[in-house]
Amino acid sequence: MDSTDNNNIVPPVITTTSTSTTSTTTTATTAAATTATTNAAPSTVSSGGATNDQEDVGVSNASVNESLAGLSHHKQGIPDGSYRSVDVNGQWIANKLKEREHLYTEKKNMTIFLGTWNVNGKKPQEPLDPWLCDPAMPLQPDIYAIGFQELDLTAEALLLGDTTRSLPWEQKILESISNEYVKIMSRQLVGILLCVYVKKEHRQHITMERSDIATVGIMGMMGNKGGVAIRFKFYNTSICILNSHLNAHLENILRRNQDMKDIAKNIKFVVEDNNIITMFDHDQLFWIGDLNYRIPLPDAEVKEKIKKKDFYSLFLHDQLYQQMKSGAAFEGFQEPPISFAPTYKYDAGTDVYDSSEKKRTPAWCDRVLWKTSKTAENVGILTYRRHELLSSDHRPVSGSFIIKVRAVIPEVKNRIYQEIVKELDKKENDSMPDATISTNLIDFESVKFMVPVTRTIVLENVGQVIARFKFIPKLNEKILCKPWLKISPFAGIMLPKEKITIELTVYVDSTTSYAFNVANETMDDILILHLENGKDYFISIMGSWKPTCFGNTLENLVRYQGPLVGTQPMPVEQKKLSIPKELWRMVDSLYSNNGMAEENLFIVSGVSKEIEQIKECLDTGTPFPAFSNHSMAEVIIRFLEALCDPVIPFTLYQQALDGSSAVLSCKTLVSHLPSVNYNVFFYLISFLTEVLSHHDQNSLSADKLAIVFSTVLLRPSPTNSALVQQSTDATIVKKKADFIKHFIHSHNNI
Amino acid sequence: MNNNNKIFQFKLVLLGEAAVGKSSLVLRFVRGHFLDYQESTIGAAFLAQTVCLNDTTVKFEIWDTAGQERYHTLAPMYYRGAQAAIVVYDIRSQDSFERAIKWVKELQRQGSPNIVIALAGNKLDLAAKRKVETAEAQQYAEENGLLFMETSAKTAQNVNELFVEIAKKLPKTPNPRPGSGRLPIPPIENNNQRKKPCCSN
Repeated sequence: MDSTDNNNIVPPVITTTSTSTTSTTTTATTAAATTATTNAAPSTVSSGGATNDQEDVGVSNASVNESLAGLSHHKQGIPDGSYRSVDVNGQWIANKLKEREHLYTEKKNMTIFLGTWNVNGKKPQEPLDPWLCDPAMPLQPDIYAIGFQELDLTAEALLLGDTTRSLPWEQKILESISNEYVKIMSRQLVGILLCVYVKKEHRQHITMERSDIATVGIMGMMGNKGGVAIRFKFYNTSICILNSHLNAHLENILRRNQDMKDIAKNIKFVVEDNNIITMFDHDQLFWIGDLNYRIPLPDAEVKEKIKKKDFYSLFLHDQLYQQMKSGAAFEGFQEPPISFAPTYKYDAGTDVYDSSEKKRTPAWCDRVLWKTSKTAENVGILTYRRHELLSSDHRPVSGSFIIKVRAVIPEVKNRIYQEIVKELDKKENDSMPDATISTNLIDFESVKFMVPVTRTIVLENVGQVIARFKFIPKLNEKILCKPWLKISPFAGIMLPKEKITIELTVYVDSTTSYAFNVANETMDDILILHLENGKDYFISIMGSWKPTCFGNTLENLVRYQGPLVGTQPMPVEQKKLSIPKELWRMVDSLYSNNGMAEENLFIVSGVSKEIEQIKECLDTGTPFPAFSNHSMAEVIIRFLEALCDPVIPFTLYQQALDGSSAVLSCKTLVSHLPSVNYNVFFYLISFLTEVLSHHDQNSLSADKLAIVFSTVLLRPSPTNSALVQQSTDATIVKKKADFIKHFIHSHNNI
Repeated sequence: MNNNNKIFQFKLVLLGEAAVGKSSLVLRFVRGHFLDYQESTIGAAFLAQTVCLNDTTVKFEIWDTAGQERYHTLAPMYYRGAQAAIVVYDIRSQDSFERAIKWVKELQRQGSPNIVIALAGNKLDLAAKRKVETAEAQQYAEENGLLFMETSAKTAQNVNELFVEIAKKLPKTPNPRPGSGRLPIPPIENNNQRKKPCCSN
C-alpha cells in the first residue's frame, strides 16, 4: 500500500539507465547486445570448443524482450521523472526489428577472395596478376583480403616497428586489382601485413571496421610471429579475417597449436556501445597465413607423391590436418580440399623445391581456413589454389568463397520499424490503468456546525490492469484536501472490474469553523484523484454554510448587531457590542423563564430537539420556542465550548493553571484579557453569582458551577494534544475550577 | 539508412477552452478514431504516441487537460516540464481563440523555457461556420513564434502533420530525458518540492 504521506512522492527506482542489455564483459552477451542495436546478423558463437568459454551464449532475445516489456510497462505515464530511460524502449524496438529482419532484407551472394603469401623478405618484383586476377577465377570478388608474411626481415622492422615496406606491396596490389576497388583497411605487424579491399559499390555497406594484432614472438614482444586481424560488417554480416605467421620447423607442432590459441585469445575488438568481442563473435571468420605445419614424411616420399599428384595420401599426413582432426587446434575450422602441390619450399625464382643443404621437405605451409558461426549460413567454396609467382621461397595461395549476406531494403525496414513503434505505443496505451468515476461533483448541500455529512463516489477499474489510485495534492500544496474534509480511503488498489466506494465526509468543528464563520470562505474545493501511471480525475467539492454563532469568535460576534444570518458585520473600526448578543439572549431568557430556580441547572442535560431549535433561533434572530431551562443552559455551555478561542484564550491557558491557587495572579490575568473576553468573563461571573444566590432552590454550589464553567472557559488548544490529555486529570480539573471560584467568591463577597 | 533507433522523448500538453476538441485531436492522433460525442475531460488523460521522422524517432507523452475554466488553476501541474504544447481553439469561436491567446501568454510566462508551442484551429470540417480567419491566427502565430495549423479531428486533416511538425521542431539533445533540468519556476512561491502530480509512488 502506498505511503500515507503524499508529499514525499519518491519515484520508484527502475535501474534501466544502463544502455546495453548487459554490462558484463562476457563476450557472448556483448555480442548479443551488439547485434541487438545494430541489426547485425546473429553473431553468437558456435565454436566446437576452440575457445571453451564461448559456449553459453547468455542472453536470448526472447528473455531480453520479456524483461524489457515488463520494464516499459512500469515506466508508463510518468511525465517528467528524470529516471525514466528511453533506451529501454529503443532496445526493445531494436530487438523486435532484429526478429523481423527477414522481412526487410534480401539475400545476396557475395564473393570474397583471400590470398596469403610468404614473400621471404623480398621486395615486389613481378606483377601480382597471376595471383590476384587469375583468369580461372569465375567472378570478380566483392572483397579482397590479401595477407603477406615475412614482408620485412630487417632488424629495423623487428625492433623499431618500421612499416614502410608495406607501401610498395600495396602499390603492387592496386596495379593488379582494378580501380573498381577501394581499400577498407590495412594492418601490419612487422612482417605480417593484411590488406582488405572492397568493390566501390559496396563501400557504404562496410561498417564497424576494426583491426587488432597479436604477437606470439619471443616474450610476446618481437612480433616476428603472430597475427593481424581486420573485422567489419558487410551489409548485415560480420566478417573477421586473420592473417598469421606461426612458428616454424617440423617438430614445433605444439608451439604452433599454442600460437593459434594465443592469437585467438588476444585478438579483441571494441564495437558498438563499447562492447568487446573476439574473433569468434563473427558470422564468418577466415584464418589465413603461413601456418607452418609440415608433412612428417621422408623428403623423397613426399616428392614422389607430388610428382604423382597424389595429394590426397600426402594430405593425410599433413600436420594441420592431423591437429584439426584431433581437435588440438583450429577446432571448428574448415578448409577447402587441397588439390595443389605443397607451396614450400622452393629455390627462389625457380620451380625447384629446396636444393640447399637443409633440404627442407615440401609442405603446405600456406593455408586458407574458415569458420562459420552456428547462426550464419555456411560459405560456399569457389576455388582453393596456388599461384605461380616465383620470387619467394613460398608460392602464394588463394581461397575464394561465396558469402550470403542480407541487404536491408530501406523503405521496407522503415515501414516495419514504424509498425513496431506503433505496436509498442498501442500496448503501452492499452496497458495503462483506466477507471470510471461515478461523479465529478460532490455537493454536500447545507452543512451545519459539528454535523458530519457524508457523500460517496464509486470508482471502477475498467482497464486491463491493476489500478492503483490515490488522491494527490495540488501543485505547491501539501495537503490532499481542506481540513474540514475527510477522504476514506484516500489511496487504494483495484483489480480489473473491481469497484471501490470512497467516502467523503465534511465535518466542521471549532478548529475549522473559523474559515467559514469569520473569514467568510466558501465551501469549495477540487480534489485530484490520480491513477498511478494513468490519468487524473478532478472532483469538485461544494457545500453551503450558514453563518452561526457556534464555532465563532467573540471578537467577530460583537460586530453583528443583528442575527448572523442576514446581517452584515460592522466595520472593524466601528463601535462594537460589549458582549455577543446571542449570549445575552440566552442568559436573559433564563432570567425570564425563572431559570435561576431550576434545580441542578447546568448539571442536567437538555432536550436535543429543543437545543437544535434554540441554536437555530440564535442565528436567525427569531424568538425562542417554548424550552426547558436545562436545554437553554446546555446551549450556553455549548456556545462557550464551541468558541474558536475560549474566553480565557488558549495562549493564557497554562498561565491560568499555574496561577490558579493565587487570587491575585488570577485577577491580574483576567484584567489583561482583550476587552470582549473581559466583558464576557465578568458577565458570566455575575450571572453565576446570581445563580448561586438561588442555591436554596437550584441546589447548586460554587464548586459545581466552577467545575462546569471552568471546563469551557479555560480550555487547552486542541492542537496541543499533551495538554488536552491532561485536562481531565483530577488535579487539573481542580486547578481550573479554583481559578473560576476565586471570582465567584470574591464577587459574592462584594 | 535511417538512424531511427534513437528515440527522443518529450512531454506534450494540450490546452484550450472546453469543447474545442483537445481530446478528439489526441484520440485521432493516437487511436486513429473520432467520436461524434466525446465526453468532456474532467481531469487529465495520459497517452503515449511515437512519431517517426526521417532521421529520428520522437515519442510524445501526451497530457490532455480539462478545458473548463474552473480547472484553470490546476493546469500548471500538467504544463510544468512540458517541452511542447498544443493550444487549441475552435475556428467557429472567437472566444476560444481569445482564450487560446491567453494560454499562449501563460505558457510563455510560466511554461518551460524554449517550449515549442503549436496553435491549432480545430474543427476545420465546419469551416462554413468559421469565425476566426486563418490569416488572423496565422499572423498571431508568426508574431509569437508558434507553429500554426488548422486541423480537423473529425476528418483527420492536418492532425498527424501537426504532431510531426512539432516533433521536427523539438531540439534533439543527446539526453532526451524529459523535464530534467528544465523545470519552470513554480507559479506560486513555495518551498515545497513536490514532485510531479503523476509520479507513481
